[in-house]
Amino acid sequence: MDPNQLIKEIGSGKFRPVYYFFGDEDYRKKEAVKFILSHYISGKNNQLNLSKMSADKTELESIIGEIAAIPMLGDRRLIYVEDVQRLKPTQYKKLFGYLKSPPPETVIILSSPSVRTPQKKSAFFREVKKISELVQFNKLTDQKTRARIIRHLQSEGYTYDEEAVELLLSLTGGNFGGLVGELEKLSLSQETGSHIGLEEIKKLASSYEEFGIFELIDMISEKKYENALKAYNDLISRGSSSVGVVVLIGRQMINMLKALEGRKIAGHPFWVDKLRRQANLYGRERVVSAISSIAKTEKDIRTSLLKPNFLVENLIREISR
Amino acid sequence: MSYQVLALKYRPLLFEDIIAQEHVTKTLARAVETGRIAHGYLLTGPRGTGKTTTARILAKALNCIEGPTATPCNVCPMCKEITAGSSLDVLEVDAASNTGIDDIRTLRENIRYLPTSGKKRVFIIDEVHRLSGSAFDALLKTLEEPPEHAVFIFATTEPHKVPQTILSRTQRYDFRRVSTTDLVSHLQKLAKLENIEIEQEALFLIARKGDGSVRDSLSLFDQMIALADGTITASLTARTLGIVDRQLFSKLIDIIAAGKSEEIFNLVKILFESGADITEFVNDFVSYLRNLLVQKSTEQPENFLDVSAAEREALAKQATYFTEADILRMIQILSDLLRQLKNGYDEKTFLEICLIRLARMESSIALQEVIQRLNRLSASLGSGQAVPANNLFDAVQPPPLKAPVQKKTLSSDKQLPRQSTAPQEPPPVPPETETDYESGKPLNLPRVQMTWNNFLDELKKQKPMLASMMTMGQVTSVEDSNITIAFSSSYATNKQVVNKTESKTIIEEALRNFYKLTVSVKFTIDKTQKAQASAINTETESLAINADDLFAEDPELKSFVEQINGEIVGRKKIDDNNSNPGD
Repeated sequence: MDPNQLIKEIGSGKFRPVYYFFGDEDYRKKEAVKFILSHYISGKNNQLNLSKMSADKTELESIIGEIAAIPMLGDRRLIYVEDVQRLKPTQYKKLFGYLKSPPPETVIILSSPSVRTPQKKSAFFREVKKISELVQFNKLTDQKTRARIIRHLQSEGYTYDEEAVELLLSLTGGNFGGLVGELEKLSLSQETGSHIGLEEIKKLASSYEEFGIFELIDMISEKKYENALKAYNDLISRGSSSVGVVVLIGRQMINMLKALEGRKIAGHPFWVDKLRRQANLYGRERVVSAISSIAKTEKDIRTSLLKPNFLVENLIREISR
Repeated sequence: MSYQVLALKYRPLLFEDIIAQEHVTKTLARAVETGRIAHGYLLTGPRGTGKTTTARILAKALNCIEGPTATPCNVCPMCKEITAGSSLDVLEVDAASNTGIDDIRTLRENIRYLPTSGKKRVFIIDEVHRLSGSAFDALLKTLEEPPEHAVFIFATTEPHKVPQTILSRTQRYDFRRVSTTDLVSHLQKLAKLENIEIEQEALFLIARKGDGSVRDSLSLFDQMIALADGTITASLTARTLGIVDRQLFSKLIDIIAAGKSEEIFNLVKILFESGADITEFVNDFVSYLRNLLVQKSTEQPENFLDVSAAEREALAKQATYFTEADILRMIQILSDLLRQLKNGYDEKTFLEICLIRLARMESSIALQEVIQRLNRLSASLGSGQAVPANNLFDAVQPPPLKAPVQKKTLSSDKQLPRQSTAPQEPPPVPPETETDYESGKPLNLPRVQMTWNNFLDELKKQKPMLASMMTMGQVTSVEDSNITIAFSSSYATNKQVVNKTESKTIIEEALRNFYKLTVSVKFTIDKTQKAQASAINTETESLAINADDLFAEDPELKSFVEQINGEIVGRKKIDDNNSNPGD
């Protein structure tokens, strides 16, 4: 079963007695648990009938005891057991044996974190498959994430620029939790019917430093010294340090050199494309010369008594002209 | 009633009172109004920008008797308790002193209890990045599934130290450094409320020293209020805060521009009598020159200058005295002075020497431009065309200097007689490129030092990273085609990398191609502080030392420098396609 099917089923009031959540996207697993809880146990006190435990830190007897307990001030219970793959074969066989006929008023969710999800060919997986409904939570593809962002913007009645969507997508870098937070901030700061452009995203978004560096390099590549200085000041006002900015410019220039030499560059396609464009605009000679200037500035920051801020401004002046 | 410091007396009570963070406060206010409250918030940004204050206002907004409301009343018992820090429902934890897992366990125990009198239990964890790894793990579990009644607000100046797992479970808001202009208007407002007379320039001094932090600026303002008897003047502020009065820099620039070196002794005397920190003075003077540079090189300097309108006006005037290259050279000379001071040189003597050097400095001209002019002259003479003497150096001249001071320039009356004796042949050019280098000529230290940057440029074309690593080294000796390159101990890693057999082979191969000689190279670590200081010497300095040697070896270079009445101040590879007159 995939998460969409799960949501549909739960939405229609159909609950399976045992689920097993696995896959790469831990944030969505937690969200799914919340979703099931809110639909399965109504009322403000639903936390009373939610039991969370980790198989890694809880005795097997306690887990089974918790599953067997009766609901408090209600008629349903939700049991969430994390790290279930940590159980030894004898232990999980005992647990799964018990779960073949779980208490009728209880939904049990077993889960494994992304980094420790067992292989599908493993004995554990074969066993858990027999007693539970498997739900795999994969990371959303860029395409799906983009669709989700657009859906959110449309549901809030916003118009938007494609570039703003791409920026949001790249800033959150596949981190679903981060994306949800950014979308929520956007919803809170913008009135219904607003237009969402790059400026709106830049103003609010976190993890801005990476974008800020791209903007700075854009200005440097286009030999717009004054705008480059503005972009640098913006980064500083957002809390970046001068030294940090030099390191990031250096990293960017090295990647640009790699791009010009046709070498592979890791990173989100949005950034990689942008970087290639910048590299072509800047040219190999200038990139090589800039790397040298950056190395000198880095050395001066460490050894000279001049203020780093001045040295970085001077670097920007030198490489953006 | 005892005196209450300004930072406490005027601590913002409402979202709208927080200055320069509207992107955060408006969003949070709307979240409260619409009831879309997250379980966890992460407030990040430089110190003194309002993170903890915002956290407390949010706590009040959620718990105010009239709330949840974006404008807490600040008079109800809940608001008062939170303001006083005595609310049982708002728990403030300083993670800097409660870093352990036990502290977080206690906090987790606390979370289970419902609010006593408010609507939400708010946990404010300041400096959250200071928590230990296990404390973060313990917190994570709670953060994943906090009870309905709990809200976490984390504040930190270093968000990169907060684990990704925590970041992805919180809504992050980035606070910005407060600009000097915003700080000045805030201080002005408070001065009015407190009936304090203060000069505008003094406000700028305080705000600049506050460095984007409202709290620091207010502390400094407190200090000045306590000290001043009557109006707080700029000079008193400068003296108290250990800042050199900007007027002094302005005066110094006028003296330098006018070339009145004798006045420098007086100025240095005044400076020493005032007990100023000389290193601080030099750094502040560099900042002043930076402002001149910004004024000179940008179209909208006001975007980059944290100065009052009066000072901006003075800067605009003084910027006309110099070319950009002049200002950069002055900064370079001051940077050298800083190094000398660091090495224990006599402060007074070296400051005087340095300032006199600045006052006697000739205006800079791009060497390339001079060469172009001479080439043009040569070509014209060759073709038999007369060249109007006045046109020869028009473009070479720096921008005209304006009253009241007159800077020495390469004026035509000074230069033209030299032009009349300009050589018939194109002038000799210092050995700047590989092709100019005499193949197979034995190597010596000055020659290698002189051509080292050209060699690195060549190496860069093949191995940019290796060349960058090499820039940190200094050629210290050349004996029988053996070149020794020393790295300071802080660049030991660079030495390790270049010393690898394969890197060394590449470098030696490149040296062979460049010098047309078989050259071996040795890398060493120079552990002495003195050697390190020498390793970080500027090109200008090393050239100045070696200029005589170079002239002895290359009389044509000497005659060329003399003909243009020049001095060797630095070395720069000239790019024909990308020249920048004045650099």
